[in-house]
Formats: sequence, C-alpha cells, structure tokens
Amino acid sequence: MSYVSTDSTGGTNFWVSFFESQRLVSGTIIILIYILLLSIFAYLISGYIAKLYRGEKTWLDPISGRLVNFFINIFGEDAKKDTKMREYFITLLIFNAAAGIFAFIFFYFQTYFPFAGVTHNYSFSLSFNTVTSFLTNTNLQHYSDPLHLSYLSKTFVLTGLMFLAAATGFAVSMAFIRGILNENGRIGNFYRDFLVSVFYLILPLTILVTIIFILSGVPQDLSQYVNVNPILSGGIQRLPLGPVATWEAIKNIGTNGGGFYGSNAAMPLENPNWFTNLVEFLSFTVIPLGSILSLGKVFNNRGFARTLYIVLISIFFFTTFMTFFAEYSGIPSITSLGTLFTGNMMGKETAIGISQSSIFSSGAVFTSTGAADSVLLAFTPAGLLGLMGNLILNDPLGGVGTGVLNIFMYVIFAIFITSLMVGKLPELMSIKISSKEIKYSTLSLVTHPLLVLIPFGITMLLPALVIGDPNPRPDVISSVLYEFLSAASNNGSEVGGFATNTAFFNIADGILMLMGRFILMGLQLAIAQSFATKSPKVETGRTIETGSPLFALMLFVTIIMLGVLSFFPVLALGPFLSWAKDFNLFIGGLL
Amino acid sequence: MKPKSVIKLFAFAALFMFILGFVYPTVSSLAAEGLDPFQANGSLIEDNGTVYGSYLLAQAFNESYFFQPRPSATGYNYTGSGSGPYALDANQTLNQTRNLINKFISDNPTVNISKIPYSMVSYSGSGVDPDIPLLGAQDQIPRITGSLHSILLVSGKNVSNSSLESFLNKTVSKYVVQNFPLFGSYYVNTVQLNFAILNLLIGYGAIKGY
Repeated sequence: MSYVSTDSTGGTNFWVSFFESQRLVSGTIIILIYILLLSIFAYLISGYIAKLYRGEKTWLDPISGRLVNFFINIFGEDAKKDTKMREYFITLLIFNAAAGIFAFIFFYFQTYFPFAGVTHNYSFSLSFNTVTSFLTNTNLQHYSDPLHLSYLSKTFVLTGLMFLAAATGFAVSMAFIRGILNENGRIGNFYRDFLVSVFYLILPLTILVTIIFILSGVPQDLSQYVNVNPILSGGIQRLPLGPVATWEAIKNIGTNGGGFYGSNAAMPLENPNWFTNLVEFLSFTVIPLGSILSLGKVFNNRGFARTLYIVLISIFFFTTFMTFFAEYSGIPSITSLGTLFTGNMMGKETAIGISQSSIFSSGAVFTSTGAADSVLLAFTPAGLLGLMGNLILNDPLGGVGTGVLNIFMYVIFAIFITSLMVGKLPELMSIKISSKEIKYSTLSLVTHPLLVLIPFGITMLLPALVIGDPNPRPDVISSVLYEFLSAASNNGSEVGGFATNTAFFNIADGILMLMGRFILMGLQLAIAQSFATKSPKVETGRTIETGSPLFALMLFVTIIMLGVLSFFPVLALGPFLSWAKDFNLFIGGLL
Repeated sequence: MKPKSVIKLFAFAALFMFILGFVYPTVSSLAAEGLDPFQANGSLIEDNGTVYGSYLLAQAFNESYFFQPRPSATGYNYTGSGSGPYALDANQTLNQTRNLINKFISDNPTVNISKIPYSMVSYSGSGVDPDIPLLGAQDQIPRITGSLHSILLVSGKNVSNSSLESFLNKTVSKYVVQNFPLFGSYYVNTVQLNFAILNLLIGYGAIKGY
C-alpha cells in the first residue's frame, strides 16, 4: 500500500518506503523519540531545578536575582520573613483570591475597559468558570471564540492568570521540599517563592519558547482580527489574530493548556507542523518531569528519583501506547467502509498525524496541561480510555510544581503500606512518617475520586443536563466523567458532545476546580509543616529503601490500584462499554 | 493577617498580572512585528493590501480545478472549531462518512475506494486543516487536469492534458513534505497547490486575479 510514487527523495530507497507503508512501526518510533527527547531535556533541566529547590546559586543570578530582590524590597517585611505553613497558605489564598477578583472584574465587564475591540460580554457563570479554570491551572474552554475576547481579557486576565497559576504551583512545591529539608518549623515565604518561580524558571523558558514559536509561524501581533477574502468567493471572513505565540508559550510552559483558538493546538495557527507539536509537547512536560528528576539531587538520593522516573514513565508508556494503538486501529464500523485506513484521522490534523496526536494528548493528561491537538470526542473508546487512565490518577506527573506534591502523596502512602507489610519503620528521607502525615496524604488521595464521583452521580440522576447529546449512552457517560475528571484534576481537556457552556456545568466545574486545587495544596502544605518540625535521623537500615526495585513495584501497584479501585465501576459503564459495543465483544446479544 | 498585608497582596497580584499578562505579550508583539512580519501576522497571503487567506488555513476552494482540502465540520470557518458534535461510534458519524465517500467518488470518478485516504473523508480537528495526504492530492489530479483543460479551452487556449498533468505532478512533488523527519507520512498543503494553479490560470489569462 505504499504510495510514494512522486516522492521527493527519489522513492526507491527501501527504508523510506518501509517507514512510509508501515505506519504502526513509524508511529511507534516517533513516540519513542518523543519520550527519549523528553527524558533528555528533563534530565538537563533537573540540575537547575534542584538548585532552585535548594536555594543555591545559578547562572541566572545576575539578572533574575536582581529582579527578585528588587520586588522583595518593594514589598518589604511581608516578602522577607520566613513563615510557617498557616501564614504561607493564607498568603497564597489571598493572593489567588485577589488575582481571581481582578480577573473576574476585567473579564465580566470586558467591554467597559480600554481597547476592548469587542461588543460581547460573557455570562456570569461562564465568566466564573473561565476565571476559576485559568486561576487553578485547569483552563477549560467553555468560551470558544477568540473574537469575543477583548485584548485585555486575552492578555491581562487570561495570560496573566496562566503565569500566576504556574508560578503558584511551583512556589508550593518549593515550600513543600523546604519543609522536608528544614528542621526549624518554617517553610519559607510565598512572595519570594513566587518571584523565584517567575524570574528563574517560568519567564525565561516562556521567552525562549515564544521565540521558537514566532520563528515557526505562530502569529504574534496586536490586531484583534484581519478581514480575509477567500479566493474566488464573495464572503469576507474574520480571522482572529493577536498575541498567540506568547499565549502558546505560557500555555505549555505553565502546563495550563487553554487554547487561544477554540480548537486549541489543532488550529494550524497555534501548532503549524510537527516541529511546533514537538516543542509544545516538550515544553509542557519538561518542567514537571525535570522537577521529579531533580528530587534525586535535592535529597542526595538518586535511587529515589530513578524509582519515580521508572514508575511514572511506565504509566506514561502504557497509556500512550494504548491510545496510539487504539487510534491506529480505529473501530470496525469505520474501517470496514473500504477506504485506505491508516489510523483514525477524524478530528486530527494531517500535518501532525496519528502518533504525534496520540502522544500529545496523552502527555497533556499525563501532566495537568490539558491542551489538545486533536478532537477528543472523535477518539476511539479505547483511545479515550488510555487518556482517562491518566486522569483517574489525578495526572500522575502533575502540573508545574504540583506534580512533585502529588507524587509525594502516593510515595508517603506507599511507604506506609510497604512498611506495614514487611514490618519496617515508615520513614521518608530518614524522617519518621507519623499518623498525621498518613492522615493528610490519605485525605488528599481520596479527595480526587470524591470530587469526581459525587457530581458525576448527581449529573447521571438528572438526565435533562445531557439530553442534548446525540451520541450513544456509553459515550455520554464517558464525556460527563471526563468533564469532571478533567476539572477535579485541574487538567482542562474536554470531550464535549453535550453542551458544556451551561450554568450547571460552569458552576459545578468551577467549584470542583477550586476544591481540587486549593484543598489539595492545603493538605500538602500541612504535611510539609509537619515534616518541617522533624529532623532526619541517621539511617538505621530498618526502613524501606526508596530506591529499590521492590519499592518501585509497590509504588506502581499503589498508584494503579487506588485509581482503578476508585473508578472501575464508572469506567465499565463508559469507555469499556463503548469499546465492547464497537468491537461486538458481547456474547449472545447481551446488549 | 493585617489589613495592610492584604492590600499589599492585592497590589502584588495586580502588578504581576499586569507585567506578565499585559506588558510581556504586548512588548513581544511589537518586537515580533519588527522581527518577522510575514510569520508574525499569521502567514497571510496579501496582494495590494487585500488578504486572500493564510498558508496555514484551508478555504472552501469551490472550483473543480482546485485541490479540495479535507472536509470541514465548520464550513472552513476561522472561528468555529472541532469535528462536529458526534462521537466516532455514533450512527451519524457512519452516515456522514458514507456521504463523504460518495461525494469524493462522484467528484473523482476515476478513483477506486481503496485508494481514498480516510483523512479525505473525515473532518479535521480544526475545521481548517490545509493539508492533505500525498495520495489524496494524487487522487484529484485527473479531475483537475480535465477541469483546467476545459476552462482554458473556454478562454481560447488549447493546452494538452498531458502537459497540465505533468505541471500538477511537478507542483505536488515540489510542495510535498513529511510530518516527521524520516518516519512521518507525506502530505501537501492545498493552499500552496491552489495558488500555483491560480497563477497558472492568470498566466494564461483565463482569470483576471484572485
């Protein structure tokens, strides 16, 4: 089925035609290249992130250090003192509330502010949803049309919140690690951590990625739109333009994920070709994975970082290849139509293709990014299940900073279980884990399923909410489940199908996002506080070695079991049922 | 927490939303326009101040002598999005796909169904995907050849089918690219192809301008 007859490279080379015709092999290789590049870049940045976590000197000190000190001096004593968890968390909450209030005012009343360029105002519930989702690093796109966003809404409100959310996440991870390292009961200062996150990590990377995007064809200008006269046709169309490249850069670097255009990274102006696709993928995965790898250097325990890397990458491999194979195979009703089928291209872009769409979508749910370069509604049921596999684990790699916190919740829980099983002392980095930490980590692990399943159950009891969805019932269940999973894990990708921009979903998602973000942060900081008062003991050899293969296995099993046990029943009603129906896996007309 | 500290936090939030959210994108836009105006404005195709499209965005191309892009669920609208409201396994999707296949075959009667790439009969994610698989372009060459031949005849130019066909093949192989180095599949950009066709027609005087 090779069809490279007018191949520009000559068309006779065996390998060229082999890779062209064997799409499954080439796709697998492309995915492996993506994961390899991710690992390399994450490793390269991990040393730098470790320095930030330990508060050591870096090569950006001459510029970033001065900026940080400049702003610390402006804000005086509040930005200098070393605080306990309570004050740190309250500062963080007030800061986020302030940002949320400003954002809401500027967004809800956007037509009343300077250089609006629009006459459209958003409803209260949609404004609430959009502001909370950008504030919590979720970035659902219930708004859709960039022509309706004023210049200030696009920049000050949404771009501003994307920066703030990412830097808040990283600041919390700095405080958490300081809690483990410190013995004086203090976890740092929010102002300082926020400024360090912005000027040492997020802004420099964003500037770098912005430049790459501009050079690759992503637009960046000040106009609201340009009038286009399509060739040989009468109607003039408005093409929305604006600061797309900066938006894209912080969207990915900050693991935010809300698109400038309605179709997110599927829109060729956001993501013109394979190169930008790769850059976007790397930019939203590199800080989360780099932070995880940096833990080895931070705690002087390479084995620990290796364990986490192996566990996380195995989950990523599994879910990515599940999605890729499913998308490559399609579903029988479509493949049997007789066209040349090389993968489920419905809802995907030609310039990106099956394998790159699969790994991009999978990476976006593996981290809390939620960007999409393809339409998730048009994914096969098994492909969607691969993506949901990450969401039910509350985005294993997490967002900027929050990934470190999430993985520690699993680590504490796994250490506790493993220690109980083999009769050793539960210790993390030679600090004793007491009942308090177990309580908080367990609470934070059950928060996610509760936040998802309760509203999901309520929605299922009120069929009127999803009556407009024309799709088969199991698909509707998948979409609703996905919507809440995405909101509660602060991911922000969407399947859609039913109308999501309704008062019910806007408000429900908004509340879920706030709880999913700030309850977890509170619990995690409480653990940090509890660790901050304890000092490490000398290794006694009576504890679980966190670098050992046994612990890696236990951690893997713990993560998978928690996710699967919480969500298996609903997964069975949703994606599993669609899958089985599409492939006629039922015996004797059970359904 | 003291009221003064709360006010400071509000100022801190507003200041950083302003610096990072407003100043940074605005300054970048000004810099980008100086740096590389063509790409910074969205790869627009401009002629005498009128914008005819973007190389990155498909259009309807409602003429039979144009390469047809992939079908669009949004009518090639720049502000719409998505591949329609239906899941892949909905009956509506199946019917849609059947209709799109029938349309493709009736437009290009010489093509066997097993040579139609599925991309050509499925909606793209953005609704404005300008790219089609190489085979999807080759499928359309016979139709476009015939179409070009007859429109040129109308304006009094008798150009042979074979020279038109070799022009189209050459154009397609000029613009073919891969969606990943070495391992990607081959595709062409219909906007680039169709502008080549337009320029050919303008060169022969068959049409006046865009």
